[in-house]
Amino acid sequence: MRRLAQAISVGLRRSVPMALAIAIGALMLVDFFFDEPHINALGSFFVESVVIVVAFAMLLGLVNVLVVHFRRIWKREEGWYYSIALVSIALIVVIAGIPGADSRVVTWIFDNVQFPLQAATFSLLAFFVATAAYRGLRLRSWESVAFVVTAVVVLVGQVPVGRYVSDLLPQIKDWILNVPSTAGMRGIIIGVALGTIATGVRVLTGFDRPYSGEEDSTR
Amino acid sequence: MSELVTVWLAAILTLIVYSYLLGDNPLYRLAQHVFVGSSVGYAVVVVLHNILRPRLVEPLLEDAGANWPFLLPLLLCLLLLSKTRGTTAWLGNSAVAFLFGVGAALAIGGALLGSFLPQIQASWVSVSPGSAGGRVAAANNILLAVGTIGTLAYFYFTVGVRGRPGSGLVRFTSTVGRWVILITFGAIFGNRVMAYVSLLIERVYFLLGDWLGLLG
Amino acid sequence: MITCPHCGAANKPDSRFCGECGEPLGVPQGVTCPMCDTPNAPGVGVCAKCGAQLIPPGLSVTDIPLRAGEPGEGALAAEARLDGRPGPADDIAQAEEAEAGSGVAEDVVAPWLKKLDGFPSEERSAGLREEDQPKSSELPEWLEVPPDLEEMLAETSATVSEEGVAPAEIPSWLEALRPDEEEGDEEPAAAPGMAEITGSLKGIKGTLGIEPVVAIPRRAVPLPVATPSSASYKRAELFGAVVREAARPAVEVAPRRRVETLMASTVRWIIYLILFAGVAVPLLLGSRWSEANMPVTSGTTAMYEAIEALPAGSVVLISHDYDPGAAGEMVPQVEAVLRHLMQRQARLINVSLTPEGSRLAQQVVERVAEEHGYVYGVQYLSLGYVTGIEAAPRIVVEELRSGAWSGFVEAGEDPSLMVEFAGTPEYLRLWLEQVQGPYGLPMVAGVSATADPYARPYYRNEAQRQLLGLMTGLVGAAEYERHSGEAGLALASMDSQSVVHIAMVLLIVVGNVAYFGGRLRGKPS
Repeated sequence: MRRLAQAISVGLRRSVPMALAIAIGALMLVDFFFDEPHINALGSFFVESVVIVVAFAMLLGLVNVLVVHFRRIWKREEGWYYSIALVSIALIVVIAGIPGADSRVVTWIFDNVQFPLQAATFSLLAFFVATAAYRGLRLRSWESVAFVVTAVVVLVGQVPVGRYVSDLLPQIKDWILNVPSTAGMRGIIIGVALGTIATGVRVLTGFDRPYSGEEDSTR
Repeated sequence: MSELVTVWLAAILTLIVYSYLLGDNPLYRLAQHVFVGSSVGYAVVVVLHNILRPRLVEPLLEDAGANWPFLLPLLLCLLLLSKTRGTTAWLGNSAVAFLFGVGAALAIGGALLGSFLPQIQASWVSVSPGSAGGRVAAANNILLAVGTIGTLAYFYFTVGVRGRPGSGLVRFTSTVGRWVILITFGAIFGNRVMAYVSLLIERVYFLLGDWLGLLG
Repeated sequence: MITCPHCGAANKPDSRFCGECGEPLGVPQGVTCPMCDTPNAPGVGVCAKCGAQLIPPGLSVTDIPLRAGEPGEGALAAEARLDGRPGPADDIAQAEEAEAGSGVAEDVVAPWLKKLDGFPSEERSAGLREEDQPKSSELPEWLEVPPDLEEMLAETSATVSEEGVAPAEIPSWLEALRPDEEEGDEEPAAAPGMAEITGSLKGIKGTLGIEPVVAIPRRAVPLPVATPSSASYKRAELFGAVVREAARPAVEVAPRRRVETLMASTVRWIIYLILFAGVAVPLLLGSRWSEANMPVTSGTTAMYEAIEALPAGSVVLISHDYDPGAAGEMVPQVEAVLRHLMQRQARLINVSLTPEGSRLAQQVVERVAEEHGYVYGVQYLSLGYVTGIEAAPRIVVEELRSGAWSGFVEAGEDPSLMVEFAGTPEYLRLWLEQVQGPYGLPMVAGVSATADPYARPYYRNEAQRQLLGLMTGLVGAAEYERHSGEAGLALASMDSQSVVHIAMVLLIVVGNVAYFGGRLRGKPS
């Protein structure tokens, strides 16, 4: 008797999420492609619910980062000094943000701490790309010639100097960007779209169950 | 806070990040942790005040009677919370399944209507005789179509599971695709360099202008 | 051709048992040492490698049972024996006795053994003929049922019954465990090749002969002196020579390495300095040379014209999907476009799919709004941050159309234009797929240069104008500024951008020259 109850509960645990995903997905598909007021209204509601739940999931993830670093401080693991800085500034921002996202402390920290740090971090890439240009772009094969010549033409054609040197340069750059590059990207976009559709169909037919929490989500 | 202090703080932080060029150092590490901490904190504040409060908390608190449907997202959020403990994690599967159901459906619809069909149509229409433009435009359009097909052929027949096909036409198309992709990557690289240089210019402009006041 | 040692008859080379007399043909198999896993030659009593005993004490080498054919023989013998045996002390044997007594002898042996084709049952064993025997391909070697089974059966069973089992019915393996001190060298009733009585190995002889070696504590036996082969002598000599050799000083290598790393880091620093100088010098000089030579791209021009064509008071939805990491490119773009939009007196709805985007947008919007006298809530709104991947663009538009912001924009009044500022291609794709495709909203985009290749196929869609205009990076912003005639940060940066681009190209060229020059001179790069 207990085994039966156990089996039913395990069965329900597996099938309820799957049924939910398939049913909701089917409804959303109808909402997406057709204009039926009731379904559209329900679909809108579900979309808004998704926004709320995803926001909550983001919140959980962010809190998890803090918990991980807090644990590192507690256990005095390697690099716990840095974790103190991380956790304290995060808490300062969160507490200062209790009245609202527009509070003066929060915006001040964003404008003068987060912004310079993030902008500077990404601008470092310019230096690395320069050393890569010097060391990495060797003309070893015809393929690399094609690659490097394209990159050079695009680089020179984008800037005023290119136009100064020759009117042809920006035009060739335009052609490269609008014809071969677009062709390649179009192929990639079509391929990715196909993959997205395939994956979505797999999820909506229950063949793939990424929400199951199991290691192997396919049957 | 006086303007001077804020500018100096921002400048010092920028220079600390640039110290990475000298090599990884503790000051840089500290700066990175401060960055992560502040962005985590800021994201929490924005999520709470921009989304959760106005969309979930306020409707339920103000008029729980009329806004009873909002109990569904509340329930889903609580189910998601159960994922933090291993024993109750299975409860959260339904919430995740809901997200996946909606997400997958929207993704399918969007990919179909927004990317797949329009892009296929673009390749097709441009080659059909009715389209406008001179001979150059027509030639470009043919090249576009051939390049697109070549790219797809390259990925499908060479990178895919099937391995090398025998047919000459297919192999030719894959080769065309390969060269098209090379040019595409070259263009991507060139554009990336441009982007990073622009970011550097912005920071240097700040350092020279706002901090040192050297710019007019 | 093998000659039988017992009767002298000639047998086929593969035979294990004599076709005439049924005796084992004496092709002994070697024993694998249980301690060190070395296979040993047949007839060896002590492991050649580690000195462990391979046969039970008390048995001689000649007593070592032969593997071939014995399991079948032993099993059959066990079955034959079962009928007349008195009750054993062992529980298992007793149970099996009971089962055997009921005539279900087959259950006694291991299931895997039973499954084999042609395994003789009790009923069949009496009438076993050669035809019933399994083909040699089906059974493994050692399970092959030899010919003339009956004769063998009779003989072996006779042997066993003659020796008899001790009255106490102690199983053979238990007997074998009896300590040496008590019994001396006498092996109690354990005939050579004693078969196992119980369990799944029942009836099989010879596999447990080495068990006593493992289980019995015995007097220490001095290890045999190691007699290495000549090959190992040579190897040992070589090893000794290498060890004895004095360490060669690495002085010659170090200076070269130091020079190389010094050169490498010098080159690195030169590159960094070139980069920094290329950016800083034109800014310091305040040169505006680029303005006259700005390239004109169709994408930016189209975007400008799309906004220029907006009737006054049109509702424009603007999404700010970038973060401080892309702000260097995006903020000048946003500023230029906002100025233009406010000039056109459009009503603006600002939203963001990134948390930082809303704050960055707020800064620019407030600054430009002040210049143009725009009032919040009257001429522009800020919806803040929305998340949910695909759901986010969708909810924004659905709320707009359903009149959530009535007073500013009425239900059913679709925005005339959507302006998307994308730092990464992902956000652009989300808006295109969830809003532009399904709802057919006219859309233009300003993108970071990293996202331009991804956006272009949508702009270059002749069939369905997915993007009416496309502005790329800081250069695009400079172009836009030039169109609107309001010079800003972007145009001021163009000289630096030009210089650094040229520097990058030169770096590529010089890098290749250095590489190939080095190759020509024969030095590895």
